Amino acid sequence: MSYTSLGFLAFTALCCIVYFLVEQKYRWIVLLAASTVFYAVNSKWLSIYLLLAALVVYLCGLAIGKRNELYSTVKQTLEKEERKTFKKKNDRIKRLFVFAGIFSLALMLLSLKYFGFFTEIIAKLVSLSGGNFNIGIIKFALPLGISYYTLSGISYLVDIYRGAVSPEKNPAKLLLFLSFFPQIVEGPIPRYAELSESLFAGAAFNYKRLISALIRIIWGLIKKLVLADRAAILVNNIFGTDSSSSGAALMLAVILYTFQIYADFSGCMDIVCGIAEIFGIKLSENFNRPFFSKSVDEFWRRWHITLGSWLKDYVFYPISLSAWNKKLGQSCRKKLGSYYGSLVPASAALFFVWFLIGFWHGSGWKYIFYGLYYFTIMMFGKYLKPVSDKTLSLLKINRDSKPYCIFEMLRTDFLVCVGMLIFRAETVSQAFSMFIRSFTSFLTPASSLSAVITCDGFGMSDFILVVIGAAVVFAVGIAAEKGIELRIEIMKSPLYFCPVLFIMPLLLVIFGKYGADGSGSAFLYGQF
Amino acid sequence: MEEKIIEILNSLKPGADFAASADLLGDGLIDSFAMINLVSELEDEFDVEIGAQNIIKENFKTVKTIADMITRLADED
Repeated sequence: MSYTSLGFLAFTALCCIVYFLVEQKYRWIVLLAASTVFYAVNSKWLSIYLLLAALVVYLCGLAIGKRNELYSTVKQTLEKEERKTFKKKNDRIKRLFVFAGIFSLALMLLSLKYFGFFTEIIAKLVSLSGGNFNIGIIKFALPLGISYYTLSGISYLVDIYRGAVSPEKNPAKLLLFLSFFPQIVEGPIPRYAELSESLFAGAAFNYKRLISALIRIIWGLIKKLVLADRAAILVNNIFGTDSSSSGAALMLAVILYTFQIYADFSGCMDIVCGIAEIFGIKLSENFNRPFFSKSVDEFWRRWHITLGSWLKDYVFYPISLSAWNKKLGQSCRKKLGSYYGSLVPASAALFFVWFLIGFWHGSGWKYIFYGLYYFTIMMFGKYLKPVSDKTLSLLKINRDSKPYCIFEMLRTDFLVCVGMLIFRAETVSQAFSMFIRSFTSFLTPASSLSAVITCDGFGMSDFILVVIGAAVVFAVGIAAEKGIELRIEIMKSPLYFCPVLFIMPLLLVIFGKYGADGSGSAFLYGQF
Repeated sequence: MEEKIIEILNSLKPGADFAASADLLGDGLIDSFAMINLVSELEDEFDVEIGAQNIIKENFKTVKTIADMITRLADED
């Protein structure tokens, strides 16, 4: 049941009606029932993995919470030294439960998602040493949303360990937190502290909120069905026939793919956040107009925000502030000075972050290379910053001037497009070859413009529509950068219901690409 | 203590108005790189241990909340 299918929209509408019909304090049960049905329909027997994960997270969470309570009770009665000893021992036991929880979740994820990748590596290593290890290609069916609920579960356990949240006593509520149906497929990755209150509270019905949420949902559907799925036709065609395409066509495919993945993923987030908004639930935003970023690290603070912030809180800081890394920092600062000295330990932590970003996206070297590509770019930026600062000051270039800001944005978008090329290509070598030919064979083989921008199932009118759509998305982005949120402006108008009732559905019906089953193609990030 | 914290912050990012900010992270005055430097400087200056569990918005919202965190950690040590 795809988020773009009529079945799902009817399911959501039914869920909304029941949600607002039942008494406020029982509304979360409606969401749990809907999430369970949604998950069971989509995953069937694979639902067992979600239940297992929820059970592990629940039990470990309770155990860690009990140790927190014990420490709070006991600490008042102990002297400072005794308290320190008790805390140390208590923290050790807490860490044991955190480790058990994380280990179980990670084991499930790694064995299901990465088994084939690991066996391939072992087979290669064994063959290098002259042996033979061939168990064939084994690929397990992947439970829906496993990459997302694994991360949510880990953050929940670590947050209890850190004392940031109290464990959920009701296992059904915890299951809802892990499986809330609008966000289980592509995120955003929720944090218990931010989501739990509105998820369990059961908001009252609000007509204006409903209309506003519907505007966002239909806007998301337009981005997905009208723009992303349409652009995908040309992108797939060019990537599928890359060896016979000109450099110009390859460049177009990469730019179009970058737009496609943005429209696909951010469109899905609009649908997801819009549905949650109907229930009065505020989900974390995953996008903040990333293509207006002036550097690659800013881009990643504005793209897939919840994954970035998860990795920052649960990987980057713990590694950066670990004892060995602090020691490394101290010794580097003595030898290299303040700037480079603090950059070295941060680089070590960032390496793990980017390795994990690549690895999280998929089980293949291509994804690891994708992560490390960004790591390399960021490191270049950081290590060369003193040089670039000096150069800019010598050339008397004002960093805050508009032309320079536009240059920075274009440079970032170019680097992101290269990243997307690696991401989309079948292999790293295909990405390399496409990148080089984009420049060396720009017009070879020579072909007319219409041959480049059209293909079977994608005509000139489709191309024009995608360009207009991209311009509209860009214009909406510029307005938002200037503090004008179009949806808020529409809601201020007395005719605020018009876009939902007439204009947007009409656009969707006329221009949507619905495919053979009428629900469009699968969301790109759903596979992760 | 707050003056010393402002001094450290100024050494990490000269020119920014840390004292006036009501949301140091939200205003972009402390990014993750600056945070690592800040933590190490605070640890050296105030002889406390700041772990990853302490890196939360509430502790680094203002200069005062940083000072409160340090007082709390010093008390626990």
